[in-house]
Amino acid sequence: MKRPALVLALVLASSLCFGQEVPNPFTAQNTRPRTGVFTTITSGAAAFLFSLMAPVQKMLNESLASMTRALKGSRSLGGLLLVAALALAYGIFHAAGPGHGKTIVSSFLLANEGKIRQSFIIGYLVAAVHALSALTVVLVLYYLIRGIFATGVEQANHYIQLVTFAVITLIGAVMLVRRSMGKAHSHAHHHEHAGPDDAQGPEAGLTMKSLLGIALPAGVIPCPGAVAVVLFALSLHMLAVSILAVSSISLGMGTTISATGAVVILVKRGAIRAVAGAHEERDMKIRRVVEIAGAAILFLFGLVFFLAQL
Amino acid sequence: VRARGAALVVVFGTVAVVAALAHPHVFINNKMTVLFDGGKLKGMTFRWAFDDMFSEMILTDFKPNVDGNFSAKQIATIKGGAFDNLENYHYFLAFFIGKKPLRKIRIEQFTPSVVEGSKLIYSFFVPLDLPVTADEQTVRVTVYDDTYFVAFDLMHADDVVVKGDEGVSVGLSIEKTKVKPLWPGQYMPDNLVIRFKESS
Repeated sequence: MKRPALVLALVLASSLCFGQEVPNPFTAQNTRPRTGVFTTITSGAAAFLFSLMAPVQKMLNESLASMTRALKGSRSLGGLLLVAALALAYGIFHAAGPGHGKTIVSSFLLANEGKIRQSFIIGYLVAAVHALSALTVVLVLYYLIRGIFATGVEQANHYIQLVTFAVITLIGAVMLVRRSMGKAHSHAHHHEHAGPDDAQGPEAGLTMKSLLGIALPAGVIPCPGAVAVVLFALSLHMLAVSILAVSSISLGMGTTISATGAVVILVKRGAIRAVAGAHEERDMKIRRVVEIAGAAILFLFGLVFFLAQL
Repeated sequence: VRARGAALVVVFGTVAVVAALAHPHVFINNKMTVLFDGGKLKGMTFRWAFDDMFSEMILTDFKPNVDGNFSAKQIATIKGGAFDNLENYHYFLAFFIGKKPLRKIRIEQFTPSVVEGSKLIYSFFVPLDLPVTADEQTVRVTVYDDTYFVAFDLMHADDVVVKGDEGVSVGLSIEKTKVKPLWPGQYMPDNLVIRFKESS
């Protein structure tokens, strides 16, 4: 009876890293009516790590701001490299928080038979889209619309999220139906393919097209961290530096998201192997349960956040 | 084999815990003043100093005068556009008067300002109006955003000053919150404990 418990633990543990998209409490309008005083869901170990990480992030944020400001006076190669390095670290830490990107990527990788290499492709793709979207939103609002910036960001966010979560719900629904009706990918079959991913047929797992298909909606909500950095550099009239910073942040976030994806794949494989052992039939069964669970999480996550945007 | 699977779950659990950590976009240094006057604990002033990037974002929308101050009209605009919504978040404040939580937090004298040319400051007063008596009373306050959008610096003893406490005996300490955790080990932020009574 330990084995179903293990699968349950897997699903519960993975659901823990599923974060939500929170609005900016300062500039949002009439959001999040609250009842209780504390609703924090964080464990004891996190309390310790939190006390370590929050100051690190604040330090990174402050150094990035002051280095960017220093660059305005004298633009040196060393200074540019330092900004890039700080932005990279900022991205790595920034993506470590709860966020919808990792939720979507994780449940997608649970629902599909992906390779470690593919988790890196998907991770960096999501991060690139996430940062590019932030850059685009800021540039459009800053140069073209010139209204109240924070309100503009909130509004743009609202519409992008509406479309994003509708697409995610749809992808989740299609996957859920397919996984419920069809068979899971057999483990043995997985080893037969040695060619490049994009050259494989649809049955062989994830194609480049399907990776792009999930990375776009997973990343297109503009990263609020990148928005802040870009706006900061723009306010100092440093467009090139803002692009440098946003690229580095994207690279950093991609590293974290990829690592999360790789862990999801490893845990999925390990848990299935631990539960099924050498039984091919049991392997198929459990794989199917995990994949249906992943698709269900993707579908429900999309639906809940879509409804929240209405 | 099972041990290996269990180990993987533990690894993943740890990653999940790390992932559940702060994802803050705004960093605030919070300073407090406890104000006594006319035999009462009148209330507390909070002074929030924002990080440069968030300051810039707000100041892009709400420009101060050249001297760094805002006019009454500008203050009203900032309050409406970038402060009032915090009511939905209890203004990130949890007060306990004795054992009773303060359900409704009132805000007075909201004043934004800019220091060092670019740093945004919010300060405001929360009235409490608690008569000082011969019996010791306790007020606990925690400053904390449970959505993790905002990270407040950890509380230190020198973040708080007491004013107007003639004839009042006041004791300040920082301790773990007394709010009951929902499960063992749940993260609970520190809180400021104010104990006060008439001085003999």
